[in-house]
Amino acid sequence: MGSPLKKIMLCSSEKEIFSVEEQVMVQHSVIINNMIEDGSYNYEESKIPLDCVDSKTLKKVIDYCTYHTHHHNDNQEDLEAWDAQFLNVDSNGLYDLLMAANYLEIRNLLDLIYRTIKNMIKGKKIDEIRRILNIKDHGFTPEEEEQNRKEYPHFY
Amino acid sequence: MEKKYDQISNDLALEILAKLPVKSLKRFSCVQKSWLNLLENSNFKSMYYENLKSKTAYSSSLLLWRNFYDQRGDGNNVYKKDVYLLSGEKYENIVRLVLPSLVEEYDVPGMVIECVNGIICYSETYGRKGKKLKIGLWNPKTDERKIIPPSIIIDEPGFDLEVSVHGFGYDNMNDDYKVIQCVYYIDYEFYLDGPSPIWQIYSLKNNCWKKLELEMNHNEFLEQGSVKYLNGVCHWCCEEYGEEVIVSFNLSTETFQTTSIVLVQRNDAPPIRVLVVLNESLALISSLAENSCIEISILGEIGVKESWVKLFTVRHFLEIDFPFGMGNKCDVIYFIENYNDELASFDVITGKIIHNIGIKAEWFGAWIYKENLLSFTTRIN
Repeated sequence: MGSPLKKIMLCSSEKEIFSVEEQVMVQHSVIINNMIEDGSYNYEESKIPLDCVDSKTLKKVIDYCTYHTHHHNDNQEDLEAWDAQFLNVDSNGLYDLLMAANYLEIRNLLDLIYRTIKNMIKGKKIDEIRRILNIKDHGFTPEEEEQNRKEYPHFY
Repeated sequence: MEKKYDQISNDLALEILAKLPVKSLKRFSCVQKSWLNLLENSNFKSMYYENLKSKTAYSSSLLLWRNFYDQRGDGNNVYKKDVYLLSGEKYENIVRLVLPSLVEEYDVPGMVIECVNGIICYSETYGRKGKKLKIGLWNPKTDERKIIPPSIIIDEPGFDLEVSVHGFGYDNMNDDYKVIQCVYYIDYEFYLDGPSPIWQIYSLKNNCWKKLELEMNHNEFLEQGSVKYLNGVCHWCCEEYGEEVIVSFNLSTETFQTTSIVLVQRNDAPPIRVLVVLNESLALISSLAENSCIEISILGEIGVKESWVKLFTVRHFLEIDFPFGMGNKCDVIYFIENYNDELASFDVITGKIIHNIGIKAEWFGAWIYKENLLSFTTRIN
């Protein structure tokens, strides 16, 4: 376990460097926790390259982890309100966050995003669900698609 | 903007789908072909069950009603009824409730019909041959009570008359509580066909019964577990032209729909069916004695027999005996025959016994109970 004062460096896809309290990232990201634990991170020289995470998204991820580290004793309602505000982003932003949280294995952030997307697609028409999840190839032949439409007209 | 926004990978999409209610699964099988048989994907299945469990394990109590033989000192066993509220991780907190008597006679037979919004609807039978029925409503939290006035029932000479309560629930369109019952005629001597059954509905607001001009199927052997209320609709199992169906009666519109039960293969011995509520959906537990297995299926949409989704199959289980009911933690409550008929609960996901509840029963029913402080009798006009 790292000491709370130690800092680590994260490097975004634009090669921008972010300095974060080690404890904040260790607590939330499985990947970073593993790197620190197995000693593959060198405090003097290393920075963790995150080539698939852009600066804007990385900043948000760090915000999330920092807030949840320092406010984990807050009551549930306040935390949920903060989370809702935090995820008030456009679909591109949400998608980027999902990818980043998945890459860094931040379980609670992933869960939060899953639940948000779940609420976006719940009870929606098929075409709308495809649009939200950006499904371009649904794999059905035109005949099968026609059959589904006939069988479940209320889904469409 | 569009350039970065790729399709969400299948693994991540499945994580999202696993959080949806079961009845959505049919819908999502039309979104993408690879999602056709999601529950056959073992990875998805385990994610799904995990979410289901975390959602159902809430802190509400379980209302348990039982019939049992009370062994008295003089050697005479008395058939009695009891009601309990169970709570806690292992149902270890057991509080006995004393149902207010509806009739003056002592220790008459009775049963709990339904528990909705913290109000228990129950009945007691009395009189010669135990043929007279009284129905009561009781909120244990506020101790508010209501005895429902009797309906007008016309005798038919030569026929025995039976009254069977088929459901109790809340009509959210009219902010009313309603009871539905079926009056039917039986010739116990020659089994002649009697007059058609009569359906009657009681409205708490109007404090009276009225006749329903409907030809619905009823269940003459309506036992615990055959009726279930969910979201303004009373459901019961019955037969229609020799086929098993569920009748769903909408308390607001006072209309009904039937859904065929086609999901389970026909065996020599017909399965025992119990209607339950699971994950905000109507579910059916089918016990197939011959295969010693239990199947739990969810109905996606009333009236659409294709929308049954089989969720669990618990195989080679210990001897399981009718009846059973759903607990409040994704578990099924049942008898353990070898343990003095004590009740126990098993986890539907693992099929393992969670724990013994330690209450003996000959017969029982279980409902989720949520405390309610609101008065229900203020509705009466």
